[in-house]
Amino acid sequence: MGWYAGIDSGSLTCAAVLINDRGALCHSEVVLTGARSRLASERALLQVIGKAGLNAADLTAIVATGYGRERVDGRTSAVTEITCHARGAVALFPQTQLVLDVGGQDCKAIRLAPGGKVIDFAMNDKCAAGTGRFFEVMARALEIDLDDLGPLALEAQRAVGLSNMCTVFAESEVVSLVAREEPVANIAAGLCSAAAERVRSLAQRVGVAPEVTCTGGGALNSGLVRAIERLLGVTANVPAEPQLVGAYGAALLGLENHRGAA
Amino acid sequence: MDELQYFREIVTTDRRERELAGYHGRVVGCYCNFVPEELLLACGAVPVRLCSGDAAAERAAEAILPRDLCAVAKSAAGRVQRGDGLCGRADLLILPTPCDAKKKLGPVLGQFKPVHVLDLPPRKESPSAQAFWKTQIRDLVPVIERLTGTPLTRAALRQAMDLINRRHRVFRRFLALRAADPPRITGQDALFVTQASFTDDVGRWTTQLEALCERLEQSPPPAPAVRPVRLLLTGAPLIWPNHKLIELAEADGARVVIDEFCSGTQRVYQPVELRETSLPALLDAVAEKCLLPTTCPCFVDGTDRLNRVQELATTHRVDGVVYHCLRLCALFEMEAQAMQQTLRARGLPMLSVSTDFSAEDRGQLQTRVEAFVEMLRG
Repeated sequence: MGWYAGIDSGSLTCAAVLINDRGALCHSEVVLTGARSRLASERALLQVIGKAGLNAADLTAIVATGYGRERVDGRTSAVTEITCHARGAVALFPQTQLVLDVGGQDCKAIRLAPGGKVIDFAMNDKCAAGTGRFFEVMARALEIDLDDLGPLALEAQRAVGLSNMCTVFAESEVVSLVAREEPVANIAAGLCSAAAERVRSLAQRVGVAPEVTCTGGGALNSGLVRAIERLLGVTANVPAEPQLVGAYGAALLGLENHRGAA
Repeated sequence: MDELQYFREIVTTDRRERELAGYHGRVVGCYCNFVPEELLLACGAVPVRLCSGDAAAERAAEAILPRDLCAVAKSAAGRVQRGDGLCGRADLLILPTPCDAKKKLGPVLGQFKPVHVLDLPPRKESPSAQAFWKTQIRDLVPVIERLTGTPLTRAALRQAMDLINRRHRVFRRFLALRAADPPRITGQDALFVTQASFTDDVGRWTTQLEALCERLEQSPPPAPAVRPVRLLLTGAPLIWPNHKLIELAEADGARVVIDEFCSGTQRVYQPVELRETSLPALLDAVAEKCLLPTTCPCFVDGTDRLNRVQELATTHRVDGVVYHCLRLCALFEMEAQAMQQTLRARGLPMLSVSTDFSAEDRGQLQTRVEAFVEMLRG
């Protein structure tokens, strides 16, 4: 029995998954990255192999991805999150033509050819607007749980227009909206719409297609996903655990690479 | 390899500054690729190109320039303001006016050094634009003659043109080695070679590059386990020490087999073409060489760069194109979309990245470039 680990060392969270030699996702773990991504990835890996009752030596491959991929100790290879999210999304939804990943500190749109090969991608520039970090800050300003932001947005009467998407400026705008007693749901919907517009412009850069899969922690935000669907005129595939897709793709690449070499 | 080390030394150390400190003749600082080096050489001046990718100099210039200004302009000003290296040594600065930033840089540099501004036409194809430009070059002659005290002669200009054309010939030989499959030299090393020509003595640079070519031609070709992904780099210039994009592009085994930068291949790509040999005809030929081959997006019509990139992509059998946008240089960024569409229609993938001289976005940049290389590998 061969085991393959994928570790997605992101800016906010670090996800580790374990797959068997048939590519089935058996165990997973998500930990907060904190200041030292090396320690977080080590912890995530130890916990996931602990769940399986394995040792690191039992792993055939450890493929690292994400912003901290080069600080994952024990990795057998490092692959960018673009390639890994594409691979993971195609494994879960084989018809995927467009992957929209909203991560902790960046967003990306990845365009796939039939068969899953990456043919183009676009990422937001060095700015947190519309990313996981953005929603974290906004949830705090709204004094709600991050998990509640999406469902709240879906209940909104209307979406409040926001004049600025810079995390710092949007936060103070949100604070003053709350002070003016604008319903929190409407503000949440406004934030989701504004973030979805950023995602749409990325998607347009690579070409919108009907078969869209949303990945990354942002896909846990139902308000954001709905706003993206509305703007793009599609119904998106959302995995049960979208924040694991990058790590899952990484593990699959480890498995395929091993098969290819064997 | 010693032959390569020479070029790195010229670019990264103060060797040229030390050499020229003891030189009694005139040193002329130049910007961009529009300054006729042949004319300067013929009058006995030493041309040195002072364009810079120095982030610290850029920040220093914020004392005298707006913060939201292109890094190339700011960095150039910062170095002159501080009197860095050859900027301190230069007796005169020649500043062409391709973009808004450079148009307004003259009086700023003029606070520290004598400046001669070379006006560029907004288009380069029309006869009136070329006539205008030739007048600009003719008007430069007495300025340089007064500076050096040496009148321009036909023989001296002819000799300088031969020197520059010899540089061009060895550079073409070098480009062929870079374009080989697998390439005999990395794009990073090639950028050191071209950027050493900014300040180096023309004859010595040429001789050194002949030696490097000889060495590369005689060495056994590298035999990489997998065929390297072949990239073409275009867009805003990478200038030492801002080489991060080419370093990242080649980090994963890919090779930049050709660049299209004004700070790279464009600088030494074209020979002067002669039809007549009178002094005015020679000057006109030099003027044409400084204007026509350049693909700077400062000109109204950008089709020549689209064509050049496609031509180089074909002749160099590249797998993909990386397009460098320098933040606050709208010109390159505005042309990026047309380039993307043109290349996409030919089935050639292009990655556009937007960055500046700072190191803080290295991680983000690395992810984009690495993902692009992974995509090209398939």
